[in-house]
Amino acid sequence: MSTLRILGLTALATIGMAWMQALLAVDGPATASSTTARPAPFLDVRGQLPIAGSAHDGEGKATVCAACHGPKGIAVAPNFPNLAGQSATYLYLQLKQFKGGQRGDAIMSAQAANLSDADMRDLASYFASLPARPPGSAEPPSAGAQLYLEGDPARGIPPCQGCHGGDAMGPRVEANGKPQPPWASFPRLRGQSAVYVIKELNDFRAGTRSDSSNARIMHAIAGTLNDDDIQRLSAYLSSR
Amino acid sequence: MPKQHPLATGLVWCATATAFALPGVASAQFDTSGTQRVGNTQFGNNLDPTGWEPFLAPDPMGMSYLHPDQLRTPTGSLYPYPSQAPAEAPMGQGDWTYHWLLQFGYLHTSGDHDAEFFQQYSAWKNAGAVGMLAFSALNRKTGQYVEFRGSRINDDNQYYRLRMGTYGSYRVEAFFRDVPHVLSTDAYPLWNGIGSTHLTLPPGLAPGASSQAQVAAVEADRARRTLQVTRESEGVSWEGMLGKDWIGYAGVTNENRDGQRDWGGSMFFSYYYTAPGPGGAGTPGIPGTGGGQNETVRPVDFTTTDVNIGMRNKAGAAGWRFNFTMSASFFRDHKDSLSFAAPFSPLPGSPSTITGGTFSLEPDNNYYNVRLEGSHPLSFWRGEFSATASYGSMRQNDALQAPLDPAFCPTGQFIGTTGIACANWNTTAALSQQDGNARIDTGLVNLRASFRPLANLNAYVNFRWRGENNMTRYTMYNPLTGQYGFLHENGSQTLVVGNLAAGLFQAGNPLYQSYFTQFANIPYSYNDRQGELGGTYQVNNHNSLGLTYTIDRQTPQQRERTYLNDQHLKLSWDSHSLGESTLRFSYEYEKRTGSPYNYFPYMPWYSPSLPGYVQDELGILAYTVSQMYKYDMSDLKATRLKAIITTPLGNTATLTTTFYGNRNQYGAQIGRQSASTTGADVSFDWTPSASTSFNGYLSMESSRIKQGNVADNESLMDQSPLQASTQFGGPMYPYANFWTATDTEKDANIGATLTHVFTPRVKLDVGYNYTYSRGVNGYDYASTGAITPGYLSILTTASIGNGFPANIYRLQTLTANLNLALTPRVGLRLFGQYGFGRYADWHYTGFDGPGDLVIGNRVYTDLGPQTRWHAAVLGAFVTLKL
Repeated sequence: MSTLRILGLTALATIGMAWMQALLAVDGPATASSTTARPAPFLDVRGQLPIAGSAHDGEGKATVCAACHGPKGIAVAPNFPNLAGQSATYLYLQLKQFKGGQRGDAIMSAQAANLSDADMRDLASYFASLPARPPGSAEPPSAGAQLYLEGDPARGIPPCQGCHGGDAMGPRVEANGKPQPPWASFPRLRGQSAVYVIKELNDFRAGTRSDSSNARIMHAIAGTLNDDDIQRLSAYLSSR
Repeated sequence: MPKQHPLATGLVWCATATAFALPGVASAQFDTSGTQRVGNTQFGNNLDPTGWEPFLAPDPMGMSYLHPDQLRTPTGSLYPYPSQAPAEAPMGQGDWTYHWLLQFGYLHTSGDHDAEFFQQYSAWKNAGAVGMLAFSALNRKTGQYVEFRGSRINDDNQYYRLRMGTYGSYRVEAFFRDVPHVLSTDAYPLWNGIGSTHLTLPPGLAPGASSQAQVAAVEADRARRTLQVTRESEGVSWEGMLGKDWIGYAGVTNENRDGQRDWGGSMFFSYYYTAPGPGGAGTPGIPGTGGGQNETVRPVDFTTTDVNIGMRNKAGAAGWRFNFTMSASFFRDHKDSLSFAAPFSPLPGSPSTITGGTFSLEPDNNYYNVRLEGSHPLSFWRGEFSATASYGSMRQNDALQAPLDPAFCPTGQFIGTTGIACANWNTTAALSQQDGNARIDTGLVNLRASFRPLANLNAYVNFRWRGENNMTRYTMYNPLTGQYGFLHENGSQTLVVGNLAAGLFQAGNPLYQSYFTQFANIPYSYNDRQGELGGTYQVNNHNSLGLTYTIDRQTPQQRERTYLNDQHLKLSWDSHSLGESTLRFSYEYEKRTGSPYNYFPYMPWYSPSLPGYVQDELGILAYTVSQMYKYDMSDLKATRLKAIITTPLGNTATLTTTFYGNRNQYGAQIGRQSASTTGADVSFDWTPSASTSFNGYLSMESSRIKQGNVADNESLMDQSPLQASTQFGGPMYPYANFWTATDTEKDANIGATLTHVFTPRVKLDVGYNYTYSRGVNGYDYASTGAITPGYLSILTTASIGNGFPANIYRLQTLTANLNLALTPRVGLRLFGQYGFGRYADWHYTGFDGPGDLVIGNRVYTDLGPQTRWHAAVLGAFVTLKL
């Protein structure tokens, strides 16, 4: 019994010490924040609703974007994504993540840093309103198409079309009364350059893009893909 | 017979089994989750019923990155939020990671902390406690893991479990636990030696010669004590691959039950009022001074060792899957007898020759079982065939005990004036055999074929045979005297009533040649064949219908009927067509019939079957009324209905409503007539986010059981040949003596639990529960002829009434846990539980203190549970973790 009483007294002593620690720690975070960069907080977009913005206002704010993404949202080089016809909600969330630090890019992070929430909504609405890149020549059935449409269950690869649509133009929503994914936040992939798709899938696979709930999904999926898979998928998506 | 230690027996059994079952061990992928073939399945205690509370921090991400709300089960219930994985740290330079947690503190009780219902399954004490000690290490590369978990409230309430293994290869588990069961907290046993096998009277009391006043005076000064049984169990088990396709498993579990509990000690009837009390008829009579009823305390000192070994095939040759199991259970009673000194003389006015009694407690028991299960796909209708065969045997062979204890009926003395010599009954030479030599074998064969001929149709046919063969044969024969039967009530019955009712039969002896008594054990056995045909049909996407027909034919031996046919028809309906709700509905009708009823098939084991039995000129006193049907043998018509409606409310709440009821009508007027239960449960679950969950519930149940009987006409006993009439409505059992007893019970349970994480550093759990139970033992009777004549003189119709006072049990419990994270590694847990109970049981009426425990020649031990109590336990704990 004396052992048990010692346990109780030890507990009380530890509480006291921990309490003192907690009090002393009150000033700690401010000091720490001045010397160490905090990681960006995780962005949970599962409850994201479709956004609304002014495409007209966005057009006026998009001048600087055209340098890379083209005056009509069609990228001037294959390492930049096409924005024309893209999901407005997706574009909005990407700008938000560039600003918030969940997604890193030297140019985009700087560009997004000074955008207000309204700016981001307007810009996203503007690019979404532009006509998408015309489809390329239809590719005959390929390994990339097979992977995109059916996945590879044996290797744990889900079909991409489940979220990005059978034609890669974005998801088709079927309401069934069950909790729904944030469909509007999933991008259309059709017509993106192979270079860009490869880079992004590699970023997902490496965990470079993983600080949002959507990126976590892609991180897990990209982890099942090998280099050949990524090549085939990018070839398939860019050809259409 | 010398006793073998159960572990030794277990090891021999284990080694023998292993010789058949260990072709080799290899590594491969298989799932061992949750098989728990040996060992306890739930590790938790009163501080933390889940066993994982410090780790139950809900993960805000739920189960999916796709959507914010939780999905539902197929029946519509919300899946709970999974818990966050605890923080891990690398262990050395290798691939291992680990985490640990220690929660320790102090518990303090207050209020009526000795209340029986407060202590019942907790045994709370003011003491230091370990809320949890946990350590876990994992090698993600190799799949090896080690996991330890333990908690300790006090010596009687603790558990520890160690698991280790390699995922996909093997698992070893060892555990130790103590679980308390407090049976009484205000016991005042009269005897010394509580917990031993010999109960002696305290100084000042003489066995068989004490007066009621003397016993009451001593009893009033006895010390209060708690009667408690603690279950201590420990075990080790293994499960792993044996070659490519076989999985082996083995385990040993040992349980020690240790403590004391209330017990009996009869020295013949003791409360036989012969006159009303001072207030006249209807007032309590004057306590009798004969016989003796002693509420003693018996020791509990059992060990049960379970051994289990087997292997199962996961793929199988030619499509067969097998599971072969050998199990054994060894029960040992380390205190297998109890003797007690009796304070009173059963014979009023003179000291007794019989000064105490003796019990033979539970004998040691060995149980063995082998079981083989196999299944194979069929080549048509997507069918599968499966078969099970099992054989078991229970054996007891303890040394038998002498009928009377020489300490209470010493050699050289005789029982009263009967001439029955103690020496002829106080040694094992008075027995027909020295050891129990008891054995019951059981068998089971089950054959099943299931099919899915259409995508929306499942069907199966099942045949099962079960049998039990009792091979025990024991004859109550005393070779020293040549007499059959046994001396009732430790010999006190013959002391009071004389030789004619001693309990003995002996041919040629006028004192015993006509006595009706059992002289051998009745080897009850049975065979049971059951056929079942069933299936489900998916009508459309929203509705599914099921139908099952079962016929069960039992052929019991040595019972009132030679066969019973039990037929069941069960209809089920599962539906999603009622809006968002899911309905699961079932209805069952049962009808049982059988052969003609023989109310007394036991004559071969009673003295009239022995040569030399001389029937009394008045005939054999009726054993019972011939219309008395035992409920497991009588005709039965039963219906059972159950409906469960699960209604989703948005994406975060669920309402589950259950209605159920059953009605049983037995084909008997004497015996159990009917039994019914009606109930409803409502449960509301709300989980608006990972940080908040709420559950409210309400359960109500009402049950009723009615039985009838008829009092015998005592004026005919030993007076008239009519005493042999067994007919209901006849002279021995007239309609006027008919009575019924109806037990009704209403139960309610209401409560709510709330868990809320205010910030990641502050978590609160609160729960409230109210339990209510009200039981009434009511009765009705055709006339006062139903009342035992001996009591009629002290009763009036008004005092008889139509029932006993209600027994009421109420318990309210409020439990709260507040967890504060002071730093990432140090936390504080505050625990509180408040209980408020009220209790009423007329059996304990008038027991206000130990001085009330002696009534006439009866001695009680237990004052009964407290009628009104408040108690609380508070705890403060520090949580340290990685």
